[in-house]
Amino acid sequence: MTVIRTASLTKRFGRVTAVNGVDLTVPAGVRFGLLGPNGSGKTTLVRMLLGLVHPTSGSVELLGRAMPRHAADVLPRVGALVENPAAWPHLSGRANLRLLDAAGRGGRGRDRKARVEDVLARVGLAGVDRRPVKAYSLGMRQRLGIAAALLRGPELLLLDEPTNGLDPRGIGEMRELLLGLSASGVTVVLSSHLLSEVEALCTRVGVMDAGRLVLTEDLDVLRSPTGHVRVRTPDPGSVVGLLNGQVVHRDGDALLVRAPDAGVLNAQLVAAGITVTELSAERRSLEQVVLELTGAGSDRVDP
Amino acid sequence: MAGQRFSRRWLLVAAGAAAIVGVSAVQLPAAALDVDAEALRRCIRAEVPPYVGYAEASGRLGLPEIPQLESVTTLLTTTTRIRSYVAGADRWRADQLTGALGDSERDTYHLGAAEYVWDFGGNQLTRVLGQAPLRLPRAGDLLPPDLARRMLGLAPGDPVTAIPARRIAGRDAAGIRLVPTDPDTTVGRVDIWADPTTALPLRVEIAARTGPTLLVSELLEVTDGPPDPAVLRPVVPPGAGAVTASAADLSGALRDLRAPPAPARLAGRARLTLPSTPGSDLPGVGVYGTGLAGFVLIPTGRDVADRAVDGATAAGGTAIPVPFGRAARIGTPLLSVAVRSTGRRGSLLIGTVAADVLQQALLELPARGRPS
Amino acid sequence: MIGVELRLMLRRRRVWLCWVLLCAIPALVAVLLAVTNLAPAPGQGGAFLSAVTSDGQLFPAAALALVLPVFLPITVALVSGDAVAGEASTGMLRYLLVRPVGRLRLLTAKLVSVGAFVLLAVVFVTITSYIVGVLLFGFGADAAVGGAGGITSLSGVVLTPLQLAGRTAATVGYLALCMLAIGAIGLFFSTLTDSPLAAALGVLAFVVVSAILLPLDAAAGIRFYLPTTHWLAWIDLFRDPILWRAVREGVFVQLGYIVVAFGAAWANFATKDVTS
Repeated sequence: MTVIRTASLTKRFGRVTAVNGVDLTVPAGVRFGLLGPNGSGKTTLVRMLLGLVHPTSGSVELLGRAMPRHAADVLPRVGALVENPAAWPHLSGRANLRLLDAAGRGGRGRDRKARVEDVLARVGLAGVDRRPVKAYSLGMRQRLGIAAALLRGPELLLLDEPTNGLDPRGIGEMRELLLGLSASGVTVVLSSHLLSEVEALCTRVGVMDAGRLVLTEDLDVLRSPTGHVRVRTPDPGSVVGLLNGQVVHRDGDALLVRAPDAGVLNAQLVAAGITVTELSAERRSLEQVVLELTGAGSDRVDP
Repeated sequence: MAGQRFSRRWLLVAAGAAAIVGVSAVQLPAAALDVDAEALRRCIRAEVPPYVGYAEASGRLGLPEIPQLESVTTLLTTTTRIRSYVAGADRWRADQLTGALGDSERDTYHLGAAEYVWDFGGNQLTRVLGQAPLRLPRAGDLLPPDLARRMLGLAPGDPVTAIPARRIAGRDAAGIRLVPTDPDTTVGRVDIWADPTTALPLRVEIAARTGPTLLVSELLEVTDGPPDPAVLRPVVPPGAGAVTASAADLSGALRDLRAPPAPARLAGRARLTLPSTPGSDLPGVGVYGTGLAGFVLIPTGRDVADRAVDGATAAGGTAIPVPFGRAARIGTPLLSVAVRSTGRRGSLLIGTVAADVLQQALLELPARGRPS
Repeated sequence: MIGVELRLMLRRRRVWLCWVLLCAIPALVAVLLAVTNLAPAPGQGGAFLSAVTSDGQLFPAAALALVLPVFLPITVALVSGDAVAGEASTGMLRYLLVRPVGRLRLLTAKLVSVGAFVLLAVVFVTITSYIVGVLLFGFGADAAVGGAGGITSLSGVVLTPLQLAGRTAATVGYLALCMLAIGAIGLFFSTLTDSPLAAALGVLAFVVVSAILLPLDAAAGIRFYLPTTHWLAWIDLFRDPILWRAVREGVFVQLGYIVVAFGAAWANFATKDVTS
């Protein structure tokens, strides 16, 4: 079962093509990370998924139903944080959630109070007072935004920059929260600039560049070994002598050796009497992958 | 797909807007009515059918401000809203809905010999005794039936022809056109549309010999039959004043001016003899000419005449060279005004004749300026 | 959603400030009139203002005429211009839409809340000015001792307290309708922009243009369709018998504006890309 399926989805704003022929498929139950530089079309894509922006061409299916035609049926099962959290600034966080809950259909009014208290507790705002939201810190607003997304017990969470403004402890809490939700069957789609966040949380990533979806892959596959092994030794000259032709790079006492298996290489070096202080199979970092695939973001202006 | 839906919604809204404008703007064409113009004129002149109605009269005469005649110039240069309750020729009420914001009202009750005027702004009901032989035009005179009867009465011998019917106040009204034959009058045509069954005039248009219609009066709402007797009963609300004025007060004011008697002839036209009741003669006032080519001489005080000369000059009139004092004339397509200010008093001439005629009349006035 | 909108409106300080301001302006005029006892001449100043000093019960009518041309449209423009653009500028618009709240339902709720705002504004002005008027100027000359008497209609006929209440209620309804038409235009402008201020200024520009065109002879052909043409028609409710014609035409034109402006708001908003 797929929760998100788009087919050659395109959006043009005037002469600017924000999203260009995107075919995105997100299966149920995954934690999907959407990556890409600023202006690569991530936000427009998320807005199209939610029916806020109408596609120029192509189609969107959310939880198996066409959007935006079936928005009224689909959106109650989706929780979203789009770009940044928002609230009515003159009301308290609690009042905001109650009114937002009352604004749409579904859910009995009698349970509203309990529902609101429950999500506030889950995002760590259980003790929040009657201060209006305009007095909240960035982190509190972020937590409130996530609480609003969780309010209806969604099957799909679409989160844009969910850890924005949170301190390291807050980021950790959010990760725990999202992992817990994921474990209970909720599909989580998040976009973030923090590659380490995505790396720590997601099971599958999509990379966007200049409106195109340039890659969709499981994180494990991306991070499979590259066939190179990093070796650190006090005696690099002997290693080069021993593994002639296999050494691709040498930087002082650090060497990069082409070898299919790190264990075999280790045994070979030890057998040759070479001291190895450090040895590890090289894996590509997500950052490398993304930087290889994408150009400069739209916020960089080169002559 | 989205674009298509977009334009379909806007089309729907545009259609709705057009329908709303259409409902309010569309005038049903009137059925062709076959009436004898001459017979309709006779009926209009002869009958005063009872009715209750609401009329709007718009004048576009372009008159200058004439001091103490503001009420008249307002009638002839702006739109006047009038409500009328007519039970018969001498039992009626005409409300002029006035005020810069429409927040005032001046109601004239005509009940047999008595006349009452309720003025909300002045918070006073005035009972007017007697009838002056000549009075200034007032809102009630602009009601289509009154205006039609007056115009037809002034030119009883001139030919009338039938013109296409018109839809007015929800009924088909037969039209007749009066074209004055008198070469002196500025009035080029008078169009009257009347209910063919009751002969109640519903709309009157007056135009000069050339150019557009300058005075339009139309009954926008009409109910046939006499009004509720209660609305013809003037009341003095608590706190309001109730005064009695005599129609002769005006002649008293004129007498104070000690104006010389009006000449027997001016500009080759004889002075008409006004019906006079004792004590209400108007010294110095004269009405000259016949039918639709007439003018009136009104003596005024000096400041009034001075300001009127200024006003006429400012409104594009021409100065008239006179041996004493100052004089000016202004000709609008329908109405001409000439005014003279000499030493201690002034004279004002107004009429539906060419300005040249008024200038000639003005110069014929005895030029008794400062005592020499 | 309508309930949510009303609760949101009632909790906004700006809304209460508008109401207080609207009530304070006529009260200030009343105090000045009472202190100086210099009533303007009939036809000058505001409608009914000249008659107020003799009967405080006429003050609600005068107060409505005072706030009608400028202050009432300003507050309506502010509140209606804020309707959608305000949500867009705080970002709540996208969260309401993904909540989900249907776009037509959102617009309807906004129109209803603007309607509630104008109705309450006119009602508050009427009530406070009645109290202020009676306190400062007393009841009219024919008032029974210690009680409300009738007032003099424009036609001179005395209106009983019951008639006065009925006609004042009709005036309140009529003016609320006139202002709701302005509010509907504001709602439409509010869907065109993400800036509440721009939408409010657009509404005011519309009102000013209408007021400028009103006295022009050249605009006589479209005068009937200008909203401001009909704003003073309620004065005819204080004649006896009531002259319904202008009020009827006014109701027709204002309803037309509401339908067309709301339709335009819907046509624009239904497929609008929400990028705020």
